[in-house]
Amino acid sequence: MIVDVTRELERYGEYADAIASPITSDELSWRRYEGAPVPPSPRRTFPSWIVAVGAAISVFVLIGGFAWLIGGVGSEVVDEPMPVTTTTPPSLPDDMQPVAINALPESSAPAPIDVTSGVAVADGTLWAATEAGIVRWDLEDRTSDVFTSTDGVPVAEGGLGQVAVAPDGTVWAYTWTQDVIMFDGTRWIEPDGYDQVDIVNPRCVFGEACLNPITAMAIGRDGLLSLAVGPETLLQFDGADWTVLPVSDIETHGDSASAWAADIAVASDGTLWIASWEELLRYNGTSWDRFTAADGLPSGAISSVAVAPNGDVWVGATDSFEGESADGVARFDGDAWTAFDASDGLYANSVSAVDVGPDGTVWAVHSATGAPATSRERATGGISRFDGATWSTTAIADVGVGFGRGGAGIDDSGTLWISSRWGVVGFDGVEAFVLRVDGNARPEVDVPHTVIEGGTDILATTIAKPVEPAATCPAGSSPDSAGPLDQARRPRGSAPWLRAAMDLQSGRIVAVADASGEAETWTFDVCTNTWSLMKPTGRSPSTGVRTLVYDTDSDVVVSIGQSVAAYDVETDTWTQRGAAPSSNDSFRGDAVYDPVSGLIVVRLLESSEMWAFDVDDDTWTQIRQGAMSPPGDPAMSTGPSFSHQHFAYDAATDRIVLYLSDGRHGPGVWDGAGTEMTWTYDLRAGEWTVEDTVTPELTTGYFSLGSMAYDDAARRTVITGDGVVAAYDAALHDWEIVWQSPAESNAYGRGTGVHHRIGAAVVYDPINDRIVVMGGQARMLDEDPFWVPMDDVWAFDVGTGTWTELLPSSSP
Amino acid sequence: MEGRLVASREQTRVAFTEFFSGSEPILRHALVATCGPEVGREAAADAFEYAWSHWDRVGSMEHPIGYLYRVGRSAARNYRRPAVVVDPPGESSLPWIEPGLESGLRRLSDRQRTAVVLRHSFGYTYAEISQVMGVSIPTVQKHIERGLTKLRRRLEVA
Repeated sequence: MIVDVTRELERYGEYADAIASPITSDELSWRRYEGAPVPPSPRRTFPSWIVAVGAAISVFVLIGGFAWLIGGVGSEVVDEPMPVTTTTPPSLPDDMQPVAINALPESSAPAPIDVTSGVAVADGTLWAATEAGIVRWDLEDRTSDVFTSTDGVPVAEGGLGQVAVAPDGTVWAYTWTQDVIMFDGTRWIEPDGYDQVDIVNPRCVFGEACLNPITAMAIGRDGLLSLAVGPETLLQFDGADWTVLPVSDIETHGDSASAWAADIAVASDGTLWIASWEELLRYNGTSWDRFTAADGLPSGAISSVAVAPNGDVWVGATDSFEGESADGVARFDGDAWTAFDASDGLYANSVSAVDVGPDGTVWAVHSATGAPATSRERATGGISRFDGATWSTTAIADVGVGFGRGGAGIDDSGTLWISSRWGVVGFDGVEAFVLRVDGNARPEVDVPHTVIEGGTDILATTIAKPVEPAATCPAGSSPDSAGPLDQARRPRGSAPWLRAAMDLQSGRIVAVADASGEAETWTFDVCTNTWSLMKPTGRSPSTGVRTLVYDTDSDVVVSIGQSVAAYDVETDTWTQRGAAPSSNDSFRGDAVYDPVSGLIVVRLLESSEMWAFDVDDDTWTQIRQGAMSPPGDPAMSTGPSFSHQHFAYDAATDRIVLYLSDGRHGPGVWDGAGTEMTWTYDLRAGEWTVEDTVTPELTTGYFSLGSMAYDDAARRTVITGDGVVAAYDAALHDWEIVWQSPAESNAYGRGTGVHHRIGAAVVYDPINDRIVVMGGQARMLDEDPFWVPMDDVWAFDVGTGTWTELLPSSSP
Repeated sequence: MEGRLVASREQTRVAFTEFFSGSEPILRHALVATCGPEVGREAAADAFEYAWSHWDRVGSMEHPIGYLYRVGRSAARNYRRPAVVVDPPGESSLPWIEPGLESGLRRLSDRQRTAVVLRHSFGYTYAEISQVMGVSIPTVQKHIERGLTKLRRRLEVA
């Protein structure tokens, strides 16, 4: 059949244009709606409810038009007023129709950012402690900045706590694990003298393992910082000195978790009011007083406290640890307590936050109840407002469980800003807003400090920032021409087991020998095909290097073996990291970089465990693998077991390809008598699939001692070993032999291409769209011994199955 | 102060609008070529949304379209479905295309497919393709030559 390819391609252009119509500026305005449905393309249909919501939104778009675009420029967040929904939850009375802040369909919702425990407002700026870091919003133009570990925020150190703004504008924050930081205008730093403070739990016999957490913070008008540490300690900083005050002077104050502080408020005279769940404490600088339900406080746990401009103290209560039911809010006028509950007009009796505005308006925030606190389920929360005489209420839809549990703040205009698992919710008395860091723009990674048994789904919830384009070869270079033969290179006989990774930003392959002792660091320029011996500062990997992997968003090559280190080509510096998890003294694992989460994913051969590594924070998180996972080493497994593995990330299917072999090779078994399996791992679902049922058997020979890499141009995973190159298409579940050593050189390591060779490093070179194979040992039957170390470098084109010699072998 | 802010916003709006008008076709076409019509269009819209939100940085780049092409590709990976080159046949109003073209394009590398489709389906120049893909013009030529060779071989062209 004769086909005019260019004519067919022209038709394809018409076909594609008919489906992918031009994007309009109005459509961009639509998309700015926190995941509001995108106007359907000609071939799409949406459920009727989405159409209804879309119609409601379109009214706004038509009114606002493109001019609305102006206000959003430069912002990472969505902060627009949301339309009022027309439905009422059946459980709510008719006069409590919710104000909807989030009417988006589930499928288009960005990853939520959990505002864990801190919201503070000052001078037109809103600060929030979130699971992604500390976010700063300019409330005038709604632009935002996210401060993460690279800015000095210890995101991974156990979770951020509250954030507070001092009268001089200094912003403070802390973590559950006793990190205290302040913002110097550029970076977050530890305040002077804090490293000398001794606040280790005196009752703890396990040292730092039972560190008392910091649970609450407040700053007075005089700038005095107060931190509640565990049940027994109040820590204060006056700008020069730190003071540790024992709360345990109060004999009746407990020492259990129920006695930890939940909130602190500071009166204008400096008096501290500390809500400690089971009671309310007052500290005037010299003595302590204690208030309980017997004094008129709500019987539940005191969750929040605020001081009004007139000096009145307000508290809110939730259900207590002991099961006491919350009964609303209470006001202390200096003499007696007055309680308010639902019978007085509150939205609900359980109060997650209470605050008082500059005009004396009292706000109480009510979270949905009946669902686990960690749930991200949508739920309706409520707000109660007290004008000094009566309470009025508003229901807010889709704020999720935990609404207000991270506190609230009030800006100069009187708008209440409330923490939620779906962002920071603003309510001006009429409309609700939401400020949210877009999941796709989420710039950093949050790694839990504590490993959860059985693994987490961190790869499904973590999104890396987009990466700048990689290096390209300079004009005039000839990357397909062989480099100079007489150039310096690693001695042939030295550590033939080479590990390598492509550094995308520099356009160089970093190679380290898998040897004992301190390894040499070499780089190979893929544009000139020349080696360079590096003279790095810092300590190079000193023990066996098992795998090298390039971390794209951190722009470092990470060496993982018996030690872990990161290498920056630009500065020629190695930086040591902590040890990798291993069930054995000798690390045996392989690693890939996951460009979606920005994490390095490691599989341990001995234990079959999977771990995610964040090189910036030097943290390891075990990954969930689902009900079925590949077997591991014979010594550690029952049933089928494998002693060799190769690992690659397949970008086309967003899966990891795992090749397993039992390592049987050599005469009599090299032609397929050994056992091998192919598995793929869905990083987002956290599940493995065994591919053998759909994969033709692959005669692997020495693949167990070969190497594997993903070819982004061919969209296939390539494995080399013993005179064979095979490629795996994860979309088609298909292995294909793409090259075999010609018969005339079948027994030798000579000829065009990499013939019978083991231990070579295989790297994908995206700058020139080719697989690069370097080093290793060739099987030359006319030599004695017949395994000969090699120092040549070759390029392989998977599409054409052809080799190009990038650097000939030197003379032995 | 407020006046300066409004003026600054207006300048930003004008700059972004001008950029959007000029670059929308090629960015959409490039991502359609790489990821298929539906996914590519979504990815392009995501990329423009990203540009809008980060205009202070994107607008100062030397080659913002090339950067946004990579942003779009990255976004497409999050759609939880494999990128496809040609969607299944739909309504009869769509132009007819050779059935073998789908599998032929799918078997090309991303760069080969992108270069071939941008050149022969949408008619862009080598220089324009070079800019959006972030590669040199000779590399574009190489991708197109190799891609067409593979396509012809697969479609059994004599």
